[in-house]
Amino acid sequence: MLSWPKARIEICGPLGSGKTTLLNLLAHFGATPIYEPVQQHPYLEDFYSNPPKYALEKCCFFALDYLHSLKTHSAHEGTVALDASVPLLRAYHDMAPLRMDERLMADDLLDGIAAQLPPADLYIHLSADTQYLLKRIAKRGRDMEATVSADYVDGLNRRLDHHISRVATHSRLLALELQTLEGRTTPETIAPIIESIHKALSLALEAKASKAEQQALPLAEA
Amino acid sequence: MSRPAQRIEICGALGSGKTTLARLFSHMGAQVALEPVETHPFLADFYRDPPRYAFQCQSYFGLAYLKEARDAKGLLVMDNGLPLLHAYTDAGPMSMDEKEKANRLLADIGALAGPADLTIHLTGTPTQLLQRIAGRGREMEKTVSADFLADLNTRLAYRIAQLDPARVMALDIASLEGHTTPASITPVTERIERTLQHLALRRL
Repeated sequence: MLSWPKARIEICGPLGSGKTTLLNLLAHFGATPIYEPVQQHPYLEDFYSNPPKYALEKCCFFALDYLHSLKTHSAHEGTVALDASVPLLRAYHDMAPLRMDERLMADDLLDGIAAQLPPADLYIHLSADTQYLLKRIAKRGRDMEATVSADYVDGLNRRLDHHISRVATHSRLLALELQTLEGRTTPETIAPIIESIHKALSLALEAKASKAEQQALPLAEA
Repeated sequence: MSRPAQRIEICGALGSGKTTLARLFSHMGAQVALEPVETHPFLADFYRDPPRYAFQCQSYFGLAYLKEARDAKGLLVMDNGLPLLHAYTDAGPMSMDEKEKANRLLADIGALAGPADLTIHLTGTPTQLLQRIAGRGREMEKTVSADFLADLNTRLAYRIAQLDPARVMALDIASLEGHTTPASITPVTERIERTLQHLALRRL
């Protein structure tokens, strides 16, 4: 079992990229998972019955729930891992059927939430091309996802790339090509990947500590 | 008979009788929207650790308010309102920064919901409110102080003062005391009904 320092990992990837699968595997190796609330989301049913009408409520609730999960785990001593993240929430907002005034509100809320939280210590970007994702989505056959189009997945992918590039500095980012994970669904086969995640997290924390030290120096001299 | 879509928001501190009054409108054929207390996903955490959870708790109340206000068809009566949501944010245990963000979100929500047709402001002194709060004996409300109620009252009055005065009706909670049945509340609801008709004409 690996030992996990106090830190936060966020797994970013479009739908069908295997975020939850990776989260389960990280949990198996000792990280603490925080899952998105797909079950008790109060607006999801309304949203699927009429997307343009309830997209705003759906988006805002996911954002609030993300903040809430992090606050409930803020005293946690180990590493928490999430399959939700600010870049992904932003990408979903960009793709949602919102009017301009609704978009303003959704973005105000996300900006307000992002400003209350430090960035994650490590962002894992699960990337794949659209055709590959569509195949995976079709394979798992969730009813809600039956109508997902190639344009939508493509748009989401691009927006996610953009938003990740804005928050994840080089030292905080681990990009994983989805194809390299293919077939690694057991603890034995995934172990090398988890070890590289663990290593990337240590390096990110070191980089953060040395940066904090450098920033503290001029003050100490003065 | 179909009536135009109109929205009444009932605002007042906790214990002022908002829910009781809102429920009495159902016999007028109104759709009554009550604050989500049982189903609120963050409320229990909020009472456990208010400063930590106030922001998302308040924001969720705002979101629930928006959904009800936008879903309205005929006459909608709410036991909540934008001025009250702002007042709770102003008086709540948040940092200045969080308050600013929560109030900004509420302003966005207000812009989307549009102004209420009528805001009923239930007024009562902290002493009157404390008596009623003790009377209903809710466990979660046991720690509410007179200072908090006085602060909330002041902030609510300030937020209400920013509305169009023609669309605000102030009711002293002492004057409603005992009027908890459809029959006994009729003089009050009739007065409100006349005001609404008047306001609907004014808007034409």
